[in-house]
Amino acid sequence: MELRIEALVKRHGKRVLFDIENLRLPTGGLYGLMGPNGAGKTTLLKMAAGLEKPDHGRFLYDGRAWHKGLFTETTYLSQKAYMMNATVEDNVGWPLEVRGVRGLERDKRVRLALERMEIPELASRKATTLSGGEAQKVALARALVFEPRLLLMDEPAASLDRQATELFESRLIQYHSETGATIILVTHSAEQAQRCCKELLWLQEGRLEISMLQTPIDDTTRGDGVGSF
Amino acid sequence: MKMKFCSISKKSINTMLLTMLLLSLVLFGAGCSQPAPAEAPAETPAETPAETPAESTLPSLEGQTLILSTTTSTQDSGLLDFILPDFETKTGAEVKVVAVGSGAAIQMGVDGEADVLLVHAKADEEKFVADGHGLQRFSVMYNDFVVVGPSADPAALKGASFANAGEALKQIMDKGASFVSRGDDSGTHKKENSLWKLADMTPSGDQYVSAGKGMGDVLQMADELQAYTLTDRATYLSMKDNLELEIVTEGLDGLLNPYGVIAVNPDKNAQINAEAAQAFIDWIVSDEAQKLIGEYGVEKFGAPLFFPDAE
Amino acid sequence: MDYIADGFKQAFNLLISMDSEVYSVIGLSLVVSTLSALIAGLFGTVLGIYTGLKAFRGKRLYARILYTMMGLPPVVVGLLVAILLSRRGPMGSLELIFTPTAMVIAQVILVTPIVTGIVFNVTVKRGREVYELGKTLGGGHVAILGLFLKELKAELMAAFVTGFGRAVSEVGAVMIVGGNIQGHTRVMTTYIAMNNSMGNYAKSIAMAIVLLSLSFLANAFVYHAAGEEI
Repeated sequence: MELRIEALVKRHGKRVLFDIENLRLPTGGLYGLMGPNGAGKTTLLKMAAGLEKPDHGRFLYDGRAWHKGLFTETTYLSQKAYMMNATVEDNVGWPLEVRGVRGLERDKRVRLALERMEIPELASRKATTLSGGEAQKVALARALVFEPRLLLMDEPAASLDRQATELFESRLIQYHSETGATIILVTHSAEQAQRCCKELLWLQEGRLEISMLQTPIDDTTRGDGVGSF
Repeated sequence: MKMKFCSISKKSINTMLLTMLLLSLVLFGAGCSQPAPAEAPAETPAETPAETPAESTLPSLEGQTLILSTTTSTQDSGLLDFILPDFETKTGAEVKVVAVGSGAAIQMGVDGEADVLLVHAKADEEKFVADGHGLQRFSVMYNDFVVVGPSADPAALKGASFANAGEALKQIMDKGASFVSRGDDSGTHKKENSLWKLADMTPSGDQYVSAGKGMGDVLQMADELQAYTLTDRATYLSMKDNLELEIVTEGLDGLLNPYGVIAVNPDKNAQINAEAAQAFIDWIVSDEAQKLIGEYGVEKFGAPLFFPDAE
Repeated sequence: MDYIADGFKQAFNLLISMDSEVYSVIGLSLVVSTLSALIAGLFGTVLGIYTGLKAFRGKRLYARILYTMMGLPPVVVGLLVAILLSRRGPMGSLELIFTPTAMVIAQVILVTPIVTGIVFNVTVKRGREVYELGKTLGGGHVAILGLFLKELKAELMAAFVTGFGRAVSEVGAVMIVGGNIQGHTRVMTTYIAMNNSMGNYAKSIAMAIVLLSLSFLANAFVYHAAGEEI
């Protein structure tokens, strides 16, 4: 899904959080999003996910303004995802059920999603009793199970150990190459951005710049990109 | 509406008073002796004050309190507010009024929680004295009961003639109209029960609404429900302006309502203020207080609400 | 002080003697207050979730007012409903005054702010997360409401039981709009108040014991549910 930002203004009290004139993110990119703390990365992602409204301007999805139907095609995953008070299986199954996928088909897809995150043994555990790392794996399985076309990932691996982080990244890259979905991954780690992404979005002082990630990051942050600001 | 609100809050005040009484009983119970009232019982055996109380001077009771247990009708009608200041200025005592149904008022006497009773349930009053709970009953005044009902008078009581008041109530039931009963064991309720007995019937069914509330509330309810009820004239007259109820039956046999005053037997506990109780009785049967009673209501309603009948 | 012990003894006898009036009073109390709590629970849950999630101007003021309304004095509610329903009032033609329906109306008004307030508070604290999860996983309104009810089950249950407890234990409103009519609108609290003013302490105590036991059971139920779920 192509994502385009037009004349976006968002204020936080009196402070202007963003002022982005025009930016186009073509379909199928896996974009890293970096920037100093408090730059508004989470707010930007939540607005793109339709959870918050900009004060001005808009996002366009394949050329269309935000509409309710987009909720079925996009997803947003936070640093510490909320676990429903139910089994892991039911957590991962929920997005399928609301789309009318039930019975054997649901069970099959849930099992596959858990296997891909290497946690099939957690299926019948109560999700609220999981450790932080386990819960994030379940959350990713739950986010990918319905095959969204736009993924907004807000430091989903921030609290994971190295091994789990690697699994996370490889699963994300695999999903990206299989489905061609558009993914924005907020990260604090330049290495993670290097490993996963071809393009980097840099958010600072209300401006969003895009650059290619072929050379070391330090040199590219000011380089020319596809979008303008 | 206003009336209802008032009587609710009054009830809770009464409950509070009772609780405070109980607490003080617990706190200052057996150990704490009170010299003045404790000597009183020895001087006042049941018979001595039997002759008509002396008209002369009332004792000074400065700083003392007297607990008067009485029925809601004396308070709701405004009579007590009219006559009690006279007693308080003459003696200096403070009168605490606990206005409840006659049943509860007498029960307070039995429990020794009041000093003097002013109630209207003659048979129960006589039993109260006979059982040794009180010293002697003196007649104070009477008022009368009336049957009130909606102006449309669906039971056709207006202008009909009855042998006694019980027959009038019976006709209400026979004609399928509704009747609201106090249902609270009060003097009025007991009066009503005696009238049903007179007519030899036991009312029941949806027509017969047992409210379990005070006179003011029951009048409001009868007004709302377009029903009949039995009320003392005093309460009815004091609320008449807010009601669409009219007097449909009056002056029949069985509708007179005598009030008596009784000092609680001071042998019950040391807290009973026998001196003040006797002073109260002396005062309320005195010519001056009797005159006050007869004057109350004339100005406001054009007719007295209570008729003095002390001997 | 004997009459207190005596009261308890008589109260016990009264309870086991299956006095039909006592049981009809308890029954009516339960029916009226359960119905009130259910209706108020429905209104309050929907309103509390909606206003808790929605961002609107004056939300803070709304919360203040709502929390104040949670402590509405029952007699004031009773008075308002009585004015509305009395024969000369604007809705007098419905002839509802002194009926169980009037009692339910008054109690719904009394309890709705309580349920709304509790649900609103829970929603503000935890609801946003649940709502956003439901949204980002593609749930529609119905599915998200279902998720909400499931996730906040313990809190919603507590809100309902709190509302019920308030309804079953208030005397001011039901006394005014119900009228304490025997066999018709007499409930536990008005029964206690009436018998107290009649000097029937044993009956008052007996009913007070029942009322307390019910409150205890309701609370135990809440804590059980909460302990299991939270």
